[in-house]
Amino acid sequence: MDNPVKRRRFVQAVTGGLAVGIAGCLGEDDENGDDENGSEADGGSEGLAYAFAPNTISIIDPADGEVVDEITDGIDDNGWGDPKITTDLDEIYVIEESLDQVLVIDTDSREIVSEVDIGPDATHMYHPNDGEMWAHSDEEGAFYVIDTDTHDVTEIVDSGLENEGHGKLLYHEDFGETGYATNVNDPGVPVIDLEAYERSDFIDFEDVAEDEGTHYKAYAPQTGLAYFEYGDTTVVVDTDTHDIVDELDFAGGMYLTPDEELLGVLDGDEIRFLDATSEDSEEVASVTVEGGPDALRYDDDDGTIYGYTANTMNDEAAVVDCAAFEVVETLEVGDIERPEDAHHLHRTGVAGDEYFLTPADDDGFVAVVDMAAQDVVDHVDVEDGVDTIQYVGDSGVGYTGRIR
Amino acid sequence: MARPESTDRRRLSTHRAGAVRAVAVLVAVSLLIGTFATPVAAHAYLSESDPANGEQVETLPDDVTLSFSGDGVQNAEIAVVGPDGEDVSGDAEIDPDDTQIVRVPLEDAAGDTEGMYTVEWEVLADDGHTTSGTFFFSVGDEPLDRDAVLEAYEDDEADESVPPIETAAKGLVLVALVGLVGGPVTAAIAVYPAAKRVGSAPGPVDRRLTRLLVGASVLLLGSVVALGLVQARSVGPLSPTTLSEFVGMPLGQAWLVQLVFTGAIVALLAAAVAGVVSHRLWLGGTLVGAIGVGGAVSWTSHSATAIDRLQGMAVDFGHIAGAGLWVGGLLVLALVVPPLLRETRSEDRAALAAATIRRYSLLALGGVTLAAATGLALSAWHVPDLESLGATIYGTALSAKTLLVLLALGLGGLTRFVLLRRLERSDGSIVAFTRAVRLEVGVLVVVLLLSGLLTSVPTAAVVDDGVETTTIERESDVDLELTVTPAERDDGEEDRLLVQEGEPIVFEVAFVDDGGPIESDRTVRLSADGPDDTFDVELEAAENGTYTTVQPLPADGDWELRITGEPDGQYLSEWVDIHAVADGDAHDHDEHDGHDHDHEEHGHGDAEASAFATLVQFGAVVIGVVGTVAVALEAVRLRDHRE
Repeated sequence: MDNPVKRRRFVQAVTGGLAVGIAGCLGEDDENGDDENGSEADGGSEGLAYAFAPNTISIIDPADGEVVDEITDGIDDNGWGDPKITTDLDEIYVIEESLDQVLVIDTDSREIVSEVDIGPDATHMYHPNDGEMWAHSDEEGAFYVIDTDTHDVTEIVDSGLENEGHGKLLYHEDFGETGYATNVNDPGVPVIDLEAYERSDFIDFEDVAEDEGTHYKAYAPQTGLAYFEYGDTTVVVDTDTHDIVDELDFAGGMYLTPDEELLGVLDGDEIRFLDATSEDSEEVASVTVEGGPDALRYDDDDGTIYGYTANTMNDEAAVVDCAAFEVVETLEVGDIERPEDAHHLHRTGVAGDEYFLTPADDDGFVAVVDMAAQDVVDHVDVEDGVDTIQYVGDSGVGYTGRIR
Repeated sequence: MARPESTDRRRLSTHRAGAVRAVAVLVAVSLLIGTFATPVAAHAYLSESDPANGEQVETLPDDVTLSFSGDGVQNAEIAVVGPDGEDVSGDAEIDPDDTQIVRVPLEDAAGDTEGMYTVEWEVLADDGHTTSGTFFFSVGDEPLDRDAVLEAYEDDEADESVPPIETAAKGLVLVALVGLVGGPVTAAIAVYPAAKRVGSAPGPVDRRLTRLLVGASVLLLGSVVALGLVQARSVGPLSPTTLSEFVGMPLGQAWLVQLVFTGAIVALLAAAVAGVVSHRLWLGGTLVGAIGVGGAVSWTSHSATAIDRLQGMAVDFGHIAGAGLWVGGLLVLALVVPPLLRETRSEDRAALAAATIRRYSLLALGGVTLAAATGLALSAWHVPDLESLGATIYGTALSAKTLLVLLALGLGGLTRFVLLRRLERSDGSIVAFTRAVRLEVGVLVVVLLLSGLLTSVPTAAVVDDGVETTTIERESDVDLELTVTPAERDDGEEDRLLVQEGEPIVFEVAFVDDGGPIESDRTVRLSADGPDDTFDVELEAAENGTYTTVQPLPADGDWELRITGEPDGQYLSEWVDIHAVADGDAHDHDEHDGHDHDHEEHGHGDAEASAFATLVQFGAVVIGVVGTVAVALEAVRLRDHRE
């Protein structure tokens, strides 16, 4: 399945809008449980951020605010999906949409070392098991399991009931070998046996509503409750019993604070903060962020948690005080492209150590925000079209009980 | 009385100047032949259509337009068969302003029935040959059906079948024609003067010559009639109406011309037998009539209809005329001269034979030069490369013809340089001379019959190797076999396939383990990554255990195909390189159906084809020059001998 570097062609322009429109979740699906590092590794790229453009992967040093290296070999009009880094920080796996592949980048040599063919229309990738990356083929509603040693697809796990549909995966050490998938075509949650590589159960949501599908997901470890976006409703499931215990009349992307106590839910221009320690999922507060907030990243500043989100509808990022529940700072981080045919817009935001990075693909730079100073410290020029970033190191994007 | 030496020198100088002029003219002719010898196709072959082959259209069009290259179309029969097997086409109409365009209306009753429509066409071209083919298009979004596409490709393979009656008729026309062209000329230039020189009366020669020419003219009449009837059957079942329709077509009109000239020859020779016309009149009249028939034959030849009409006709007629001088004269030598020798005084026989042969040799040498030079020019047009000499009926027949011609030339050389000298030394045998000439005649009659075959089958320039299917294998725990039709391997990169841009291509994927196909647990997909485009399709399971789809590669250039499946629980993903050749570029499998491709191009590329053609053209020029010099020398030698 590995094959020499293939010609890429221009598909991003064609499919960009659609890709962006996949429920506004293109890019890292790390709202829960991903990307916190294990810092024991000393890869050659630690502390650097990989910014993915159609023809160039720019390696940025946020501290210096400059591009320190570029990868261009084997890249030609690529379209990028989720990146995911291994726990030892040695390899970055990134979905390349135009050829339905996962590219493997060696962070030491800073080169593409393998191309793994997977199923069509993959967007998200997960790292639920050591030694495995799970890339979800939306065309087939299936996870392609890649062995991180051999770079081969070793298993294909059919997740969606209809063998199609955009999907995600929720996993946590509390779940043991169980994962919870979502699928926009399925009225519920496919339960995945991560060891047996199969769908073992299905949690049906049809009693909540019909003709809907599941999408965003999150987990609150202190209550053992999992949250699933289901149409306009957030369905709360007890992960021990798989019973539906609550229904919230709003839905969107969900992001757990590092202290596991708050769950930020994106609801239009509102960020609703739920009490993640309460079994009734009480809404603690709501913060309005004008400009369409997207992926929420957190910074724990001596006990005060600040949320960072880059807006989709303007050129700003907002800093939210998660204790006072107010926007305390607005930062100019540049503009993104807004294709006319996009149903939803998405803007990547990545936290890496003390920095928050977000691409401004329309302006051709990556904005570097010093989270301690709550200020933009650099605009790093990169190739136009960067919409995906992977930080090599402590991403700090949310709590995970495991370092995957 | 001895002539003054200065006079002799002047005469010799004059003759040599004449010979030089003759050489110059013939060299110029040879060069001219060489310069216009560019490869072309004969017959009428489909060059493009609307809808195009494999095109998907939203709704059924009002009509289908077929554009032919090569010859114009004299008659067309076209059937458009819809998805339900019904013929939905009306009567085909040939564009009166451009006979290379044929339109066939589609019946309203067909509505917008979605599915695949197969267009089966058969046309009678200006050169009297029928060509046929099949292509298809589809209405709606449904993918093309694999079985139907394969069947259409099979139906569309080149028809190289030999029409026996047409072939025989054309061969006999040529046999008769060369006799009627070469007989009078040889008689006038070689036989009568030689006989007169030994004091023989012209009467016996007249009798035998008229007998020979009458036989040839009757043969010509019969074969011309038979040929016309065969060609008329292409229009419809034989009936007065069909004949009337046929003679209304240019092809039929050319046939009428042949018939009229042939009838005139027969009548004239009948009058000669009856003794009511002069010796000079029937000899000259027969030659003129034969030239008329030959002109009409050349007017509808492969070359005339596929190239410029006059240019092609001139070369083809030159070929017939050259053969006439050579073979026709030989017929006279074989059938008229031996009895004449027997009736000649024994002491004069050798001199008569030698004089006749010597005079005939001049004619034969000119004839051979003309026939060979024009023959090579024709070969350059109709044989695109060396390989097609053995790969097509046309090429095989041409090869056989060439070998037989060389054999005949050897026999001619034997007659000219061995037997003639023996006869001149009076130690030669008339019997040996007669046998050698008759053997040569026999060989050349076979050559003429082969020529009839050459004019009845498609030339090698338009015959392809058929639709080629190529399989690429990838070995792993479970092997993958990708079979592509039509496609061929790239000679430069063995593992790369060549296909035609925009042409419907049948892809068949088989997962093979222990020699047998195994099923895929997952949808088998084919992804194609091209220069500016990409597509991804799911393959359908076929009854034979393969997975298939029909897809065109919409742009020329390099493509990468990826096939994925999960046979035996094992995920398999393999890549195959494929190159789509642009419209009009060389690619031999579609020479026959000719969709959007030029017929002058053949599968081995322009460079090789043109190199072969150039070589053949060069050969034509060389033969023209050398032959012309030889004719000049022979003329000088003949004159010196006479003096």
